[in-house]
Amino acid sequence: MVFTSLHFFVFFPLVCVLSYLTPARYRYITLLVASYYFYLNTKPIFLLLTAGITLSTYAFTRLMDATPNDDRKRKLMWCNVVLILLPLFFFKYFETINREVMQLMAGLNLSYPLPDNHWLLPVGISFYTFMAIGYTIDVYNEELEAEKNIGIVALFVSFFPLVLSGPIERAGNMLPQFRSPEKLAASNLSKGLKLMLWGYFMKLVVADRLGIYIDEVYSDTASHNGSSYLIAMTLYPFQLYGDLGGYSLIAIGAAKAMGFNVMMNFRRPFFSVSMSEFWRRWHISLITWITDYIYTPLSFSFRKHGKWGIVIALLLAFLISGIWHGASLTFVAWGLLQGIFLSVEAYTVKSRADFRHRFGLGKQAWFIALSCIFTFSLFAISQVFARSSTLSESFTVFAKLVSDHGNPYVDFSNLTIGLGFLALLMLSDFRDEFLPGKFRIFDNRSFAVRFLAYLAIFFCIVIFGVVSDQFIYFNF
Amino acid sequence: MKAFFLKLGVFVIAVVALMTLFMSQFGQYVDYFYGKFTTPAQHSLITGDSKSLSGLRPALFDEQLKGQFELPMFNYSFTMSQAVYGSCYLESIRRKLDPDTKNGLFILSVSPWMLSERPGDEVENGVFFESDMAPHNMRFPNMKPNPEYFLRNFNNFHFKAVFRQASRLHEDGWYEEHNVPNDERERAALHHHHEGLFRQQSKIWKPSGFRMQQLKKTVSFLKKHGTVVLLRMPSSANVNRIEDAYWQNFDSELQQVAKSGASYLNYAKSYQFPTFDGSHLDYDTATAFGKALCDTIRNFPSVKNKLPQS
Repeated sequence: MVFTSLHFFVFFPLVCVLSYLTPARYRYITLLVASYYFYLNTKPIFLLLTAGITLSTYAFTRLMDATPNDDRKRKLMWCNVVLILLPLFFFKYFETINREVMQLMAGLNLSYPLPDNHWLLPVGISFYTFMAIGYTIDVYNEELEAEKNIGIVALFVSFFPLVLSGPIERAGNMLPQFRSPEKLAASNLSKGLKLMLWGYFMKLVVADRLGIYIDEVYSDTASHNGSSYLIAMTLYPFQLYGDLGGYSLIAIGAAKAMGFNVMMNFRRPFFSVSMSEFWRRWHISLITWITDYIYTPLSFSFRKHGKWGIVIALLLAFLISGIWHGASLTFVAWGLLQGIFLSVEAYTVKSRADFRHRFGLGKQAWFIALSCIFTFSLFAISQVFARSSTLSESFTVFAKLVSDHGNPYVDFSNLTIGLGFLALLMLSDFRDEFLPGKFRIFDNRSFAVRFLAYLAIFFCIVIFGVVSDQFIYFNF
Repeated sequence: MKAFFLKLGVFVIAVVALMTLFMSQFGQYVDYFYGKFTTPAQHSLITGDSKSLSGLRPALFDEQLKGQFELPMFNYSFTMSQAVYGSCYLESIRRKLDPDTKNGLFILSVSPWMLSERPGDEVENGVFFESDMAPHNMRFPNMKPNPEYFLRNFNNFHFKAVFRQASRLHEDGWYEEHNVPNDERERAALHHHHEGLFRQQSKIWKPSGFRMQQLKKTVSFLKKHGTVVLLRMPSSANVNRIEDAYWQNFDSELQQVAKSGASYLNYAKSYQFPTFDGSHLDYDTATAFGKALCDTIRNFPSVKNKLPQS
């Protein structure tokens, strides 16, 4: 079941009602049953996987909590991390590695006993595995006590708004809420439904409409020229923002309507003046996870190398982020590129600050605008790797961008609608960024304005939305 | 809390009211199948894929064959994506047909593609790729309004289509295409596109004995309710070549099926009815073709010797 299916529009209100009808102390049971039913509707067999990860995480965290021996605790922590990473590795990376090894062996005229299997990737595995690992490490670091109720741990791993594509939540935030959930409140319902409505708008009207053009261009590298790729390359970050940003808002809104507060995943990323700022605003739950559980321990380990230690930690952290996104060289290249951008920024942070200070540029609107455009361009260029299916395809795209110009392919209808509503989305972000609290529409004091705004967005979704059950991040 | 639910209720009522108004005004442009499930059960049917969906206009048959069959005719064709002969389509036809029909006319448009197995089919296990699609997923195809269609097939709704109104579904099930290109280059591009599509699917799909058997069952069932015509509609020479290479004995196999109680009319190579894209007829050609078809049906001995019905 996905958020855009009709099934969900029946399921969600029903779960909301049942959840609030259940006494608070047993609410986790209702939500757990609902979450398992939700996940069952994707592919029933994969429920065994979430159940397995839950059991393993519950058992090892309880054992860690019980042992006073640090060394044993560390071993238990690593045991669980490795154990729950195995399915992720198997489903996500085994096939690619197997194929590469087979090709290599075939090239050397050697036989290879394993068949070339094609496994279906369990939806959301990268997300709930990371959530379970985060919880395990938090218990190991004694930042959290191990949860004694296995039902609550199971709900944390499988909570239906988050299970398919995050946000990658922390046990420290979610477990206390599951233990004592909030009472039914109109403000939660209202806020949650508004977030969901805007999320659907971002996903169905902006992302999927732009996606039609982008998919067409990337599906036929031979037929499209550099001008078409320039448009597709520029639009792709917006599509991603609408897709995962929209999905996240629906997830956060659904959780909010049921009385749970989930972390925001995006914060107007295209108004970032540097890549480091960009990564504090884009896919926040993943990046904070990587910062806390990979980058910080790594930079601590490499601290004796000074700035170079930070560079190595950044490169490794973003390499892992790239590999998390997908088992291909394109994502490795993408991750490394992010690491390089951030390393250069880290290395030049002082000289850039001096330069801005010297010429008084920090608050100049034109300089901020140029910095935003430059940051966006870096991200858009790096996304060519993420969007291409192979490394050679991405190099073809770059070659076309440089040399193959001409009239671009124009899908007038879809581009007009997509760009029109993208402008609306960007205006809304601009207002929140630079004019907070002003020109409120969804939160306007006048009921009539709010009512008309909701109706307008609803009909925009109905009329201009693309009916889709595909989310880009389901592949990750 | 009360105030919130009151406001939510007002919002839901406003949405439902506006949607109802919108659909009643523009529904025929928004979904090209919905109207097929909002009529009462029918006496005479056209079945098939997009060739017959846009190429066989029921009003023409009503006019040309008036008094000879239980009319009006209803076009229950869909597109190649979901309309294939098999147990699913047969069941849907059973539901769409008025069981009291004695003298109906049933035109079953056929092509090799509509009798093929394709990815998703496991016919030996009773698994059919089309089972989750309209019309096969509809238990109640004769209901107005039809909430079942809305619940099961919402994905087919294209609300944006009201702005272009490029196509329209008429009440008799005929799909009118307003977007037929006049420019020769555009037509050539469409021919090229369709030929590519057929070539591609001829590599992946395979002729199905099972579906041919099901077509035979469909003929046997419909024969009890009137006259059955198996019709192969005109195609371009290139498309015919692809289809002949794909299924060499297609015509002789259809003639065998026709022996179970139908007439087989093969117009595939009737190039006096040119298609605009390799397999679809434009309005004028479809009219000329429909008239020729009616002439042929009118001259069937079983029809000729029959007294006109009032």
